[in-house]
Amino acid sequence: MSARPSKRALVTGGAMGLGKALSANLAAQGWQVTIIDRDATKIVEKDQLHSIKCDLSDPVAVDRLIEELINQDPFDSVIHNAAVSATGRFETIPVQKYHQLMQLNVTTPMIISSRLAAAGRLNRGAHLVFLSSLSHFTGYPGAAVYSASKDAIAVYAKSIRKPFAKIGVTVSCVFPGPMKTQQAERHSPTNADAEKRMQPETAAALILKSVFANRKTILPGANAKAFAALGKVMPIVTDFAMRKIIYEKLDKDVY
Amino acid sequence: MAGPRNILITGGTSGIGLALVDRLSKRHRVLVTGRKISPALEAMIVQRPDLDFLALDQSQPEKITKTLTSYLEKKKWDQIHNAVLNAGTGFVGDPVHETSDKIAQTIAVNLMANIELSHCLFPYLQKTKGKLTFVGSTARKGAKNFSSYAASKAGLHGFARALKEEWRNKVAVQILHPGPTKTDMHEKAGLKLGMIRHLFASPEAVAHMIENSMGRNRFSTKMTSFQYWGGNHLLGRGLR
Repeated sequence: MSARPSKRALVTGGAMGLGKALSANLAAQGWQVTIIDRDATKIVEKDQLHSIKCDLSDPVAVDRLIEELINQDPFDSVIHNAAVSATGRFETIPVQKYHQLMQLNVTTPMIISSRLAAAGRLNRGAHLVFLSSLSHFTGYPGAAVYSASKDAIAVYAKSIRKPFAKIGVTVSCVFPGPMKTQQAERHSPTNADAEKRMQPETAAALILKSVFANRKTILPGANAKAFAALGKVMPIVTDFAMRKIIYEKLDKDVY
Repeated sequence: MAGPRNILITGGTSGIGLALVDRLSKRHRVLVTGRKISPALEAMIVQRPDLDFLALDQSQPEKITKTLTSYLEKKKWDQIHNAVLNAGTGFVGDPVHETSDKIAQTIAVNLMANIELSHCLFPYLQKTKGKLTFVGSTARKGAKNFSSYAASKAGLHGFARALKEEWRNKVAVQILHPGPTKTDMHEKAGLKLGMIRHLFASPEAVAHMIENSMGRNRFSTKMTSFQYWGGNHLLGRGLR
């Protein structure tokens, strides 16, 4: 059977956690996946998985990366998954960490999106996917700058949806709740119950299904949907709950 | 609190910031920051001895803490009662063609610089159990040709929302969202306005609403012409 040329996807932060699950899912569906990660050594290169090592919190490295990507074939899917958090009391975490966080979580995905679009490196019918957080609907004391970054990227995704539709690109934004990943483990209070968290593979399947159904707002799982609805209707209650459940139980700063 | 306060206002060289400086510096000690001083502010400083200007470029957020703390030390301000983080920038245009520089600058000035300032000002505000007031924008809900600006203001709202809970009983945090205002921001951003500009609130009206909100315990308030005509500026007693 003569195969159509495979579709091409770009996934940032694909070495671990949700990014790894998203890349594996796409590869299993026959996509050619390019993974960008600072830990590119952790990626097992296969026929369909290629990696580029890049520290996405370094603007100079990002600029070089974009030049490299612009010289490649265009993409059918770009998933901005890479992100870091910083949990603890806002004033005790060194401010330098916040600069890196904001660069990685906000500025870099925005720049990559507009540069690839302007250079015609997003095919018509392509999907552009941003990863926000459930905290967009609930507030997140204990991760003030992280929640700022996730609100910024959510509203960026919402704002560019119509202008990008004109060049045939669909924009989606995902608001996942806590997942069973190393990163979530590191940033949660010590005795938090990890059993209720979603497996990254489950989340990846739900997310990709919604992306290809052209959904603009994606809340994977019933818990995420319920919590987001509560946050919209009763923001003061969720702010209070998040402070009690998370902020007052944080026993360490993690960044 | 009665008596003069120590107040810091960023981006106070023109527009809403300047109107607010004009209101507050009549009764309080005000430190204004901005990229560079304007003739209007210079004229005001000559007349008011407790009004001061410090050049602070928010497009380089990493340098803010050092510049500001050494100036506060020189000025012998070891506490601040109110900080109004008002400085902002923005560029209008199709997001498909927005340049890397414009995106990076918008996020740096509107979001990262304010995070750096909050970090730096916390000990000064804590001493007075003071109040940190962010100036956001109604664009925070999304704006298609103002995408990175909208993103930066949404980020600022999320940041303020989290910080308000974290600093409960230490420092009060609020964010005020002006709507379209008759300032030179739209022209600087590259937008030509017609008749619609007449519907915009004046910077003085918005500054009036900001001052009243600073004296009240609301976390987030919208401040457009409609709010002004509806009497928002008549609520509250201003900042005593």
